Amino acid sequence: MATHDRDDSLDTDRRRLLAGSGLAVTGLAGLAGCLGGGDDGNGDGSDGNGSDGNGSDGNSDGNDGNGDESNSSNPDGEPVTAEGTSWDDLPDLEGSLTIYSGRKESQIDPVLRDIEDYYDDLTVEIRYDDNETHLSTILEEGENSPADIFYTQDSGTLGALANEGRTTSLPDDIIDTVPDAWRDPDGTWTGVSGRVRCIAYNTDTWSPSDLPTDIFAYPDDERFQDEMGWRVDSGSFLAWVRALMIEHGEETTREYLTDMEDAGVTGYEGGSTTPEAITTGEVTVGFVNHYYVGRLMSDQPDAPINVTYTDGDLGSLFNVSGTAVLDSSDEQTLATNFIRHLLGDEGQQFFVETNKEYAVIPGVDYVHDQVPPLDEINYPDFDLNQLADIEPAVDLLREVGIR
Amino acid sequence: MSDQPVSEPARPGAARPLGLTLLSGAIAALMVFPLTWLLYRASGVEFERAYGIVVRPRTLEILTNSVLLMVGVTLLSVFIAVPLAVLTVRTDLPYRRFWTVVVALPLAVPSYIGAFAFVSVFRPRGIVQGWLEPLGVQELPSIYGLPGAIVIIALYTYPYVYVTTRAALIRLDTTLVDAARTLEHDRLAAFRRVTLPQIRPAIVAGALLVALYAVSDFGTPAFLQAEVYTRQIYLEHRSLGGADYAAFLSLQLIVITVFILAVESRVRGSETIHTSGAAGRTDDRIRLGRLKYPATLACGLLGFVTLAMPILIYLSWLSTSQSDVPESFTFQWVYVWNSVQVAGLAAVVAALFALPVAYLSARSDSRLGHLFERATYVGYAVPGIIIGLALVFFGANYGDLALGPLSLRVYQSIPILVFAYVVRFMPQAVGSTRTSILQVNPRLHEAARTLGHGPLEAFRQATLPLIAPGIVAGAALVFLTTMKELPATLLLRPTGFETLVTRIWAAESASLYGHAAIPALILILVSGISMVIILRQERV
Repeated sequence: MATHDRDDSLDTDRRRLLAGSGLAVTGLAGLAGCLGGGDDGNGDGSDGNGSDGNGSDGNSDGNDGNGDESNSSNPDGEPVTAEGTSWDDLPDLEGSLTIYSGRKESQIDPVLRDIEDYYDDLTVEIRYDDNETHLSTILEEGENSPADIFYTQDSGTLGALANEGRTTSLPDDIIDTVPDAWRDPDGTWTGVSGRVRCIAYNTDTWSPSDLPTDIFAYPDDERFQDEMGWRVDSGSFLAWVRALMIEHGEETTREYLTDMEDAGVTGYEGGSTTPEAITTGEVTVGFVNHYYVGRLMSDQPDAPINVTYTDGDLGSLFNVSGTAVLDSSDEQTLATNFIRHLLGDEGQQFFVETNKEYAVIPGVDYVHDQVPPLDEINYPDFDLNQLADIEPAVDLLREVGIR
Repeated sequence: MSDQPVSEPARPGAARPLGLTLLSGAIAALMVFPLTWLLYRASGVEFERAYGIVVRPRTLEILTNSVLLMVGVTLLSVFIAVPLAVLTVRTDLPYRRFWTVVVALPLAVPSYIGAFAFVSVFRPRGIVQGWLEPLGVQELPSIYGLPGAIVIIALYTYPYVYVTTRAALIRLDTTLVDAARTLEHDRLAAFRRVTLPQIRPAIVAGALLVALYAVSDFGTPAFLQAEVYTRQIYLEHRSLGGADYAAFLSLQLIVITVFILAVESRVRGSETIHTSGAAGRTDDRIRLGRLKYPATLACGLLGFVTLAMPILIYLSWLSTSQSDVPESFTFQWVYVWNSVQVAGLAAVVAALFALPVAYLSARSDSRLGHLFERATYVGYAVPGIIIGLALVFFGANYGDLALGPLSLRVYQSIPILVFAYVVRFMPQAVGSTRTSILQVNPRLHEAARTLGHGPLEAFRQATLPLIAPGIVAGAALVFLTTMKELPATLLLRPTGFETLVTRIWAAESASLYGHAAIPALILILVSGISMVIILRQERV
């Protein structure tokens, strides 16, 4: 089917999926299934009926209809794959799950509820707050944390949670589905959707050709004095500053940040505040994540705003939002299977269609009128795992006076 | 050791203070207890890093800004509130009752909602600038920063001073004023020499609430980018590895709070003014004459800016409600019920806890009683997120209570949420209750005792009916502030338990302003009703 065409485009795609990982995944599938279903005793009830037999024939019948209800015919299910796996084929979800979400309710509630609605016996409890508040909360809660899944807006807080030893290993099929750079090398967290930093601009003031494709060109350019804004309170921003430090060194980064301050950049708080300030003309250039702009463009098609990208530098840093299963969770299998659903076909489609984010599996295309697909953006090669230790960025921002 | 108090022969008169002292000591300890978490956090930091955190240059800047914010807000509040109180109680201002409600109502509007409206109207390229555009105004002076924050917070907190001052003015013994007038003092001199000393404790009590609120308010300074403790604590707290900084900043904030409380004790002055219990005569109001026009205009302008403007803006958002929004943003009445329920519980618990503390501190000269009363104020000055995190720690790790066959999990439950509110807002109940106790002559209690009543019975029969309005007013204040509280609510509520503010927060952080409008307007309405209750209680 469509998946075969996509294999061809893979090579040209900038998402470098390990060659042949699709095949490897199939091989690992049975193994992962056995681990998933067999290891946990009777706690989560996902293997109510003879898990041994089902494990093998789960692969053979893609299109259920074996007499059971369509949604519950597949207790063990298949592993996720890079080509995209339908929720129908994934393991059934049953029980109660608590998610601490640093992602906004407006963005993520629909897909989480979709998964909940897909199964009769699944209850999903979601607490929404900031990534960092959740992280602090989990650390204060210790082993008594009610959270099963931590879901964040960027990889930094997940890395921090992993550094605290509070994450647990994810199964191989998940790890093999998501490209290396977009997940924990130790396999304890994974990205589930992607976003690129971009330059948002007011279309009444600028045309894309006016705008430098080098992030360092902005603070020195007279034209942008007092015209720039960025969001300073997000994990994304922290991660981005940390990336600058890793790529260009602390001194250059400090100089850049100081120059931006001197150029009168406005520090906004809240994800859509900067794009909105651009539409009202309060500032005319903003450095933000692309999907906030994408959503605004969808909601208000007439708003004078668009995005452009820098060329291969960190102005176009690709970062992921992601998930981890907590080590203290009593529902580790259920939590893992839930993450499989986020990485499944319908989950990934949601990120693309509704949130204007990028899928983290190659099997899902990016379709949006204005915002370009990932392969048209020259985003830099950057290993997100370097961003787990974010403290130097915090210290620098504190020194420079931005936070 | 422990049986020493028992072995001491208890004199009949001393028996009650001992029990009362122990009780209010226990309550004070309970209120301060969550803050021990800060010491625990701070003690985990190496000395060198701790020293670096405390003496960094930024610390001085934040300290200066916070003190400026606090002093500015407090002074501005007093300057707005006291004249308004005099105007609405002691003069023949037209439609006095209406204006009384109007000028007290801003307290019902969460300051972050007010700030939001202010910024959209007055920001450099906001609505007002749009009106002035034809006149060549390209940009208004920035509303951001400290001055903007001072003005906005003051506009939404001066009612604390207004309410307390108004109550004192109502109970004012006007015969004294008349006496001063017969001694040829003009009105201003009579006010300064007779009225002011009588209402000073009330002004100071209100100003204290304003000052401590100003240092603990997070939303407005953050929104206006004023670099004060709360914003800094929040930012540090949101920075990975910033927990140490947050703990140390919070401790600094507590030191400042203790300092303010000490200062307030001195400023309070003599408090032993017992009005005879009969309300002052109010038939001899000051005639405003022509001044009534500017006075009315001032009240109207204040009401427009603080109430009508945010309401209009939220109403206008209501009409721009976007489609394609997750179902969970649809308004449900259960949010109102949840808000009212937890705020009501917090009000009742705070009133019950406040009574012994306030009574001891008002009735006995004991230093302990004074100390306990002061102690209940500390939690009020600490940002909600700190109280919230402290209770996350205690709740999750020590919150499983096993009482015989009953086991109770406190964490993320209504009880711990209500407890957090009580820690945060109890001073409002303590202050109001204490002021009303001060106004009751202790001889009444003694008289009841001589009639053979026990101390509790004498209190119930003689004192309680007289102070009940004060207790209710205090509880209503707690109710109102609890309705508005956000950070502790987010941290401690049961999962899925949504209140009006959590829905406003979710909608606003998603820029779905249309969906923030209904909960915000209902919040203002419900708080407004409780504000009217407060005012009614003090009409005596």
